[in-house]
Amino acid sequence: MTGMRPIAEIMFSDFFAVCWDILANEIAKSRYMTAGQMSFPLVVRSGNGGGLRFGAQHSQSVENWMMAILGLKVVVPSNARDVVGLMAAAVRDPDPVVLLEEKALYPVRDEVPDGEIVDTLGTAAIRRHGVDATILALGNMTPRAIEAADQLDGAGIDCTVVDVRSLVPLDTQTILESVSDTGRVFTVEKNPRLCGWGGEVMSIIGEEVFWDLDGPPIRITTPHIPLPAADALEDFALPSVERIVTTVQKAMSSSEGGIPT
Amino acid sequence: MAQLTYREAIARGIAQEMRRDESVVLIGEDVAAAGASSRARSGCWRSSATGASATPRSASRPSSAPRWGPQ
Repeated sequence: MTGMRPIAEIMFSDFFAVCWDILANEIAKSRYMTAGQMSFPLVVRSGNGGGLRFGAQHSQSVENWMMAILGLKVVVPSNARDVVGLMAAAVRDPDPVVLLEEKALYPVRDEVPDGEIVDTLGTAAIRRHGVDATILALGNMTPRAIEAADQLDGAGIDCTVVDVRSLVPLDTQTILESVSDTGRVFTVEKNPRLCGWGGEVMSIIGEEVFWDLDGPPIRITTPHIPLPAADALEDFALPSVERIVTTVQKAMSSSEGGIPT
Repeated sequence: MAQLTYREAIARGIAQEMRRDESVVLIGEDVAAAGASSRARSGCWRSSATGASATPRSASRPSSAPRWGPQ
């Protein structure tokens, strides 16, 4: 608004609740409330998600909160390279962008090309190509989905893994094309099941490519509970590689699943 | 090609944009000195010419950084 392009850090994404009015009502609506006369090129970055035993107030996956706010864009990088590319895209965008960092991925090492990296907001990335089913994943669920897909391949189920990367705007073209190709779709979401991002994506799939589906869309999510801090309970609540594998296997082998013969 | 952690990539992404554009600043609790809770720390500080101050609300330039859980 005053010519600066701030990147603001909110330490834990749970704390978005503390600054909700200024973010949801003021920042997100500034372009609209000024009839387009002012833009607000702000990036808000925040550590998101569980798996680190931080308890229910420091472990939430709030991507579903963020995408519900009109006027905010929402990106969630799943690897180090995308952190750089999506950060650059977010900074260069004229409007407020929320970049959710995956706390569970902070220590994970990846190859990052030299030189400037700039991605485009609203682009998904296909991480693995398969013909039997599409697995849609976000953030740190993406490496889990890829690992699960590798295991499923050994069991004769060849999956595409789409890293959604950007919830708002959403790359519906990449998602719908993949689902139409494979005929089956699963989401892997670490946000709670109720009003999780996959519910919205699945509704778009239902409206747009229903007749290309060979079986019901299935969501693999965290249940609608405050995330436990106890090791075993937290691991049980979050979608694991094992849960992805067994859910996909069960759905794909069930006769009601409608696998074409 | 560099091998970077996700955390180091945050600092690199912010640094890339701060070098490109003088108007980019980083704000947040302890982001400069302590690297904030994510430890995606910023190495050098923006000068006071930007109006930023070295308080818990601070602005800074990033470099690379250590730690959150096992490396």
